[in-house]
Amino acid sequence: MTDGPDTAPPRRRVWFGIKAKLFVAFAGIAGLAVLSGAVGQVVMDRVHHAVVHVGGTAVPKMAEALRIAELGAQIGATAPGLAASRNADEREAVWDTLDERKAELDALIRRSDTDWTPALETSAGALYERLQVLDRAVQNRQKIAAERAVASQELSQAQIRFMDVLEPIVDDAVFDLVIGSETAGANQGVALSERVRMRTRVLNALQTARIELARAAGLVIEAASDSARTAPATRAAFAAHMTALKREMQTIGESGFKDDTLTEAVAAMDALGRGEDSVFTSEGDLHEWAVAARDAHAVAEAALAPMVADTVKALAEDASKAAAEAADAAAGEAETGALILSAVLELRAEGALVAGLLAEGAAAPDKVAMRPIAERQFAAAQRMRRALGEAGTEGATGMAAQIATETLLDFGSETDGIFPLRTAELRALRLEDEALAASRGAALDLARTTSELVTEARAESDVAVAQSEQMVNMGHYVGGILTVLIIVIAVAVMIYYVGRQVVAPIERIANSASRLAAGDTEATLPERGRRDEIGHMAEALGVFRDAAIALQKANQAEILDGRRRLANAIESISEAFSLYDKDDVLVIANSKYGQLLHPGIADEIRPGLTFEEIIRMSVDHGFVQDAEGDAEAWIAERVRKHRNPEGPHTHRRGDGRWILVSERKTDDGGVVAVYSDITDMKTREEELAVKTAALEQLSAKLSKYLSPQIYESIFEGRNEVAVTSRRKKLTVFFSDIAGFTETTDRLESEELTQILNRYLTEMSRIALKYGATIDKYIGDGMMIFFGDPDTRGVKEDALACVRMAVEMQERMRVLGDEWRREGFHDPMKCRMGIHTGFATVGNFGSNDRLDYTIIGGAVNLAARLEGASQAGGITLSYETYALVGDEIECRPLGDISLKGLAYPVTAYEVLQNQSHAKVFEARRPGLTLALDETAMSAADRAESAELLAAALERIRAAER
Amino acid sequence: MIGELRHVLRGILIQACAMLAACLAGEAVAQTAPGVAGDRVLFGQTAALDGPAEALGRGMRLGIRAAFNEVNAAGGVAGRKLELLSYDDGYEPERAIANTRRLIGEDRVFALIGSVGTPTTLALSPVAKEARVPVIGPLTGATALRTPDQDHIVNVRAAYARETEVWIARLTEDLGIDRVAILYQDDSFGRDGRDGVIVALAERGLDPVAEGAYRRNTTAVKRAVLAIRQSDPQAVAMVCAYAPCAAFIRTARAVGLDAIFIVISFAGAQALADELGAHGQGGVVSQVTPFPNDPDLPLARRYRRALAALDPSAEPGFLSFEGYLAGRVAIEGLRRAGDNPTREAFVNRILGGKPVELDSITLHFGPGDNQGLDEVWLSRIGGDGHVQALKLLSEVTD
Repeated sequence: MTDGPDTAPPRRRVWFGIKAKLFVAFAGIAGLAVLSGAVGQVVMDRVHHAVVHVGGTAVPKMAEALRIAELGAQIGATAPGLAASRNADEREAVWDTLDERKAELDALIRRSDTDWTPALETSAGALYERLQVLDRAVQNRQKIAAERAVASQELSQAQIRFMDVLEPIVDDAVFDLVIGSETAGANQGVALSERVRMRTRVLNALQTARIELARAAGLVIEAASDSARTAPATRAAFAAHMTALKREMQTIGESGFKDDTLTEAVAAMDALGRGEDSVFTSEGDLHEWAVAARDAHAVAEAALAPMVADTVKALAEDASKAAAEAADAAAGEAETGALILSAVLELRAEGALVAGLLAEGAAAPDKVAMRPIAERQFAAAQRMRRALGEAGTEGATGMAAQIATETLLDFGSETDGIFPLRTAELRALRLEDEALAASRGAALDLARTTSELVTEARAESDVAVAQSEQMVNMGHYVGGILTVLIIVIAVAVMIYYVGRQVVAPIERIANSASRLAAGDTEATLPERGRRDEIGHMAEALGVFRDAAIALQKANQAEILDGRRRLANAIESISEAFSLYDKDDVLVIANSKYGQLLHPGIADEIRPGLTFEEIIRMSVDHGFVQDAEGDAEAWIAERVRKHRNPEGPHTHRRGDGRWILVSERKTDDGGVVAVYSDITDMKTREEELAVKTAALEQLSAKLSKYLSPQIYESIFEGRNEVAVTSRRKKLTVFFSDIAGFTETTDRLESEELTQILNRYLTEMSRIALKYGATIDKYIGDGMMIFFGDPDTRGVKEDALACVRMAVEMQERMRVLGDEWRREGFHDPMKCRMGIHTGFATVGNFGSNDRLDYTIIGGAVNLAARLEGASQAGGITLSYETYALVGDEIECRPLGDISLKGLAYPVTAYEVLQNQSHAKVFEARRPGLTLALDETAMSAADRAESAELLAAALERIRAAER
Repeated sequence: MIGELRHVLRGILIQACAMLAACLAGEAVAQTAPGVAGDRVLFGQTAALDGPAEALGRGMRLGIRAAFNEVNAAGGVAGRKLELLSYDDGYEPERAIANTRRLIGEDRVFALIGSVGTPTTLALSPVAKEARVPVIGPLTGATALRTPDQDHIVNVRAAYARETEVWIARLTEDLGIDRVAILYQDDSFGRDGRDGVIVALAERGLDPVAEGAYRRNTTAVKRAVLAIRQSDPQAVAMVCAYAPCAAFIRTARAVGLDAIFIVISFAGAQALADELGAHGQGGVVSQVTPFPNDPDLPLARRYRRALAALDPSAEPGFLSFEGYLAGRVAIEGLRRAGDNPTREAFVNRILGGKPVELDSITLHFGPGDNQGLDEVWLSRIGGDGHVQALKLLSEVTD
């Protein structure tokens, strides 16, 4: 390799070529782009800082501040809920929520870590402390309230119990007094005892009125202070007390006491709890209602007290008077009874009052209001004790009364009764209110601090946002300038440097190269003097051009040489030759083409003419015989064939010559054609055709004398027409007409010919249908065999033969009917014999005359069987029977001796179905009868029947 | 860019607000029918199980338990066993209210059944109505519990007004009596009965000759005896509990007041007979159920079987029979309410559905009619202390 000649031009070193120049240009542009990116990066970095600051610090800070504010507000809002909680469970639930929020708030404050954190911690701590104080106050208040509620409930129960206990005592006291005074004054003091009874009733009524009044007042006062005032049960109870009170008032009125103040007080009390505007329906300050109820109660009490005193005095007088009238001993007892009754009633009334006052005290709105209630309760309690002492505490009932009384009075105890409880509750409420106010203040404090925190966080985020806005604006400005600068510089580099120094020279070289490629080897080559890559390119192109010029000259010489050789070769072909290109323009043809196809105008045939122009010239000169008549059609057809060659074809020329045209498509779509003169061959062909037609006519005539099989066999060349023979197993058939000789004597020759031809035609048709080979007609007889030249097998051949025989017999019967109708008196009947056996088949005779037939013992046997057959019967040899017996029904005839055969032959007769025979035939000496009733009309049948009857009569007569 | 930043900040604030709102919003929680568990249905009863009226509450309770026991032994209703939770209210309305609140709020019973007494049932009815809890078969004939707005109550028995009407009808028609005094308990029950008597008398152009009242849960009736004795009545119509009734009759007979004492069903015939002993003979008690010892009544036969199955030593009586009827009505209501009974379906399908067939007895309810039985029967206390059926009042004097 190193020694090989270096054909490439020496590679020149380029110091500042296209590559370097482009590199410098693009590096400049890239540098500017990098600079621009760097500026953008700086701007984005600043924006990023701002966003991170806002999103990561300012926003969470703000969110936290908001959450702190929210939690603070929630914790502050919990205080009233704590105070409003009705029981320990509710309070604890509130406190749990509070704890959760407190924990979250503490966590948030700790995390916030700002200047405000200590302040927040202080505020939250203060709030929480205040809430704890409030909670303790609420807890305390609830505990006391629960105790007070229990005490109130117990008071209510104790009052009911007290009344229940006193009721039978009063009942007994009244009963005893009345019955006692009755007994005492049984004799004379009826009027007096009646008075006692009446006064007793009044006393009872007065005291009951006091009770009912106290109860009703208690209910109103309770309703005025209790949230459960709207309960229907309270309202119903008030209504019941008022109803009872009115009933007692009626009794009092009937007794003669009349006091308007009492009536008014009762009406006032009633108005408080009834109607549209009552203590049970009213809204707003209910204290007024309680005051009104207390006033009404006081007025009524004041009115009732003297009435009670008067009644007791009168009752005691009456009772003692009644007793005195009866007996001295009983006087004191009766007086005592009245006093006891009075005391018991007093006890009951005062008990009701005490209970009412205690209930009132339990609901007292403040400590000031409680004092007068307590005083009145104390006074009533004193009266109760006195009444209890007067009523006596002896006996079970007395004990029960004392216990019930003491139980009731215990509620009024100054140390652990209702009043101290209520006082404690009121104090707890006040403490609670204070604690609530304090916690509210603390909550406000916290809210203030957190709001400042929020404000700060918001200010911070606003600053960050403003900074990032400034940076983004600057980024927009600098980025815009840089972009413009890059575009300007890039355009300048492209136009003034790349365009002039690189692109333009390359374009010039490319122009030259294009012209060179188009074959213009004379084109000038620019830029050859340059010292860069373009100079190299121009230099290489110059070398290429020189090489191309040399090659072009060599090619032209070679082409001329080849053409010459080709023309010689074509010219030397014996046939005419032509080549048309894909546009059907003649490219080349030999001189024979002109001489053969266009004699006389051969000189005019030259390359460049189209095929159509050439043949049109030819036709115009009358060279083409086929075109005579319709020249245009022939030209169109010829052009079509030429364009789409389908194989060789001939056409006749005007001078009588025949031309064979062989055209073929070439790969480039042209057509190459060879023309041969076949006039001699055509002439010989025509002669041959005439001879062949004559031969065909001759053989058609000859065929009628031959069996079709033989004919076909010979003409198709399967059998040689020569003296040859072979042995084959055949089924041989013979038939003839029984008594034909006698018949021929009776008939005219024309009639005989007609009948015989009809008979042979019909039989031959049947024979051919079964594929039989008809050997020959022997007068009225037929010799037929199966098995040559075609065989379907021995058994099939035998079956076909027997079936053919049966059909022939059937046909014969039909023919017999026809002939009988035509007037031939005695119909002909066939005898048939069939045998299967080996025979020699072939052409027999001399070399001048041949006969295709069979010979052998089997043929003789068949002929003999036919002779032995009955007229109309078919006789088979055993050999045939053995082949067909399983399909054709036969009757054995036993062994029969046949003429010319030394041994007896076992024969069978085919049983034919005779049922369809139309004609009833009988022939006896003196009688000939042939009856075909189907051919008769109804009249014919009647006439024939008469004839036959007459005939029968004659035969019978002859017998006698 | 700045606009985008502000947008982000605004988004954060909006989200914070949404979170706050979510914290404050409450959540509604669906509830299953109270008192109905997979394998049981709980009924609640508040009644006098102690004190002067204890026989009433105990009798009702026994009858309800007999009915529940009977159906539970047969597999319950829709696979659930019926259970009864009873609290004593001592025939005091305040305690009845407390018991009812406890049964509904804490024990979460499906329905209330067999409450005893008019003041008690009147007191608990608004509580039950507010909580939409059905009240089945209260032992009271109060008219106020039979108004169309009381659609949460299913009454089995006839109203007191119906009983008092029968009294006056029989007294005037059978015996030609026109001097009738009234003894009544001084509360809503007693006044309801007293009003019924006065109306019945007024329809016949009569007035009561005297009235006497006594305090509930006491036997302080002597003043009433005195008040009534004066007017010398031929008959005393008694709207009271059995203990004061007995005390009244005893005292009245002691002071020579000889009249026909005709007593409201609520007193409880057998309890009264037991309380009176030999003094009871001739007392007439009206009844709002058929006779529990009726040998021909299929319902009564079945009741006696159920009672014997629960407690072989228990004697059949009007009170437990009424309790049994209430239990049977509740069972029928549960059946009609389906596999997932609700309180609404339970009540509405009794009151609004087809008549309730209890063996041979049919209870007819309808819109505005929450009372199943309208019939009133009369009975008298025999000399042997047994209660006997009575066709005509004239038989009493025999």
